[in-house]
Amino acid sequence: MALTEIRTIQPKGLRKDSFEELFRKEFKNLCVFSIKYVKDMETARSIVQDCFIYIWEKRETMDEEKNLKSYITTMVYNRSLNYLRDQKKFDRNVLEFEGLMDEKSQMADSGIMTRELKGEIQNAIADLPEKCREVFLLSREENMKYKEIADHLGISIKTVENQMGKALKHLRERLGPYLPILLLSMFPYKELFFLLN
Amino acid sequence: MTEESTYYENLINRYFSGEAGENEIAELSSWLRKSEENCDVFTQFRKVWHAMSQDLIMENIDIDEEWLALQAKLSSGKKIEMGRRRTLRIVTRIAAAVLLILTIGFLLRNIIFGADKTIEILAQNEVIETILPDGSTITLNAGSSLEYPKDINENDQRTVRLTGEAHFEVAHNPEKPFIVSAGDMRVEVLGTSFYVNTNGPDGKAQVILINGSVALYHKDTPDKRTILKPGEQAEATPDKKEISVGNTFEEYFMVWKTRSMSFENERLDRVVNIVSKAYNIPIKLSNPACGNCKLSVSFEDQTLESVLTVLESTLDLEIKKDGRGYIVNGEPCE
Repeated sequence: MALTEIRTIQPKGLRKDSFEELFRKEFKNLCVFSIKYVKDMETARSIVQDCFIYIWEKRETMDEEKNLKSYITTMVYNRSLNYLRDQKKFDRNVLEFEGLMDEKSQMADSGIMTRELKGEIQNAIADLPEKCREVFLLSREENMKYKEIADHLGISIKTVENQMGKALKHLRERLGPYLPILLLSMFPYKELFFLLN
Repeated sequence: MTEESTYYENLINRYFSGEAGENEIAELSSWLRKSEENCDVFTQFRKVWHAMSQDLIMENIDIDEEWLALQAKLSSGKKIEMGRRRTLRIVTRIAAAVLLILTIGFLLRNIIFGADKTIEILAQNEVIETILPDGSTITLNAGSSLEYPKDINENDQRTVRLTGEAHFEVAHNPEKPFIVSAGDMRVEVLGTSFYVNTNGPDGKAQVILINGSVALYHKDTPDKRTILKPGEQAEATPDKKEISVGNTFEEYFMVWKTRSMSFENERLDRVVNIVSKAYNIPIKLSNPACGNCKLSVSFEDQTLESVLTVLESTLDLEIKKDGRGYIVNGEPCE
């Protein structure tokens, strides 16, 4: 039966257990990496899923010894930038100010989050005034556009914008002391589109 | 705060929340170029937003769910193959087909069921009756479990996986065959009432048809069908591809569901055995010789306590609690 063969024949390249290990270890880190570009959890999640699928489908040509983590990171980076470009949201200048035009510096700090900061984010959100928190969470967790939030809550887009401003002002004040002091990485443009898919 | 700075702070927030469009990003870009001060403001926001994005991912993404989702996408190619086989069956116009395929392995588990998000119903300590989203009623014996895809109604087939014992009353829907997977064996029906046990005597898989019509076959020989009539039992032995049919089977095969028993001059050891099965409670005879005593008695979905009380008084026995179960003390009959 063809179906069982798939499981019994050992693939030549990347083995399933190594693949699963990589997936479980890096999936969230890569989402954190991607969301900084795409600004939206669902998009980040689907980009990272697609990259893992790509790797699995090409597993026979993947060498386990090879640095798969850096390979997939580059792939996520390229696909995230492609997404921005397709959405006409790609602006190198802003991305450079954001410190996102250099993938290495980004990956270095992803996954590092002090427990204090993590707790403080939750506390700071919990302390937002009710309406403000509602608007903020709809934007952040439900991934809704300002217009959708406005319709959903029966308020104006202007009010949504004001509440978002209020939320961020509050969060900046609360989280400021916990945030890492990072120098802006103003690296010149690097040829990182070599893995364009 | 000046009006202008509020304007740009809002622009920054729109940017980081993914709200900003092409023109707004361009506007932000040129504003950033204007002064160091602007960059500092932007940097403060950036730190907060990046930290929150990280937190958002860490808190909201469930790695097990993601792994399942990935598995589902990876196996979508395999589903096509299943679909093709099914079409063939429809072409051969065998309605109300029951396919029964038994295996000792777990190979099919991920292949058939790993493809979709599944819901697992586990009858841990007691019999559970459940109605699936398609309207089929399943009664699961204690210790048995049933898995079915969350979106069972959206699929072309209604596929469920059974481990253990269950009775099925399948909602009639000729468009969507109902398939019970019991290891390697499959039971496919369009709407009928039947019983499946993956742990039959000697490790056999059993199917007993109550009403309707079913066809059985081993997965490797789909052309070799055995049609079962109501009241017949089919058994398949692990490793063998043959399915044997008969009409002699344990009369009380469904007693765990019905708790309906009617004994006519029956030996005590058999009565105790059936009661034990009906209530999923071990009941032992302290002296096996007393199993030869005979009695006539009927029970209709009574509590275990009342059943035991009736047994005690009918044969002058003493029934005591013994761990999780009971122990029966009595004298052998002449």
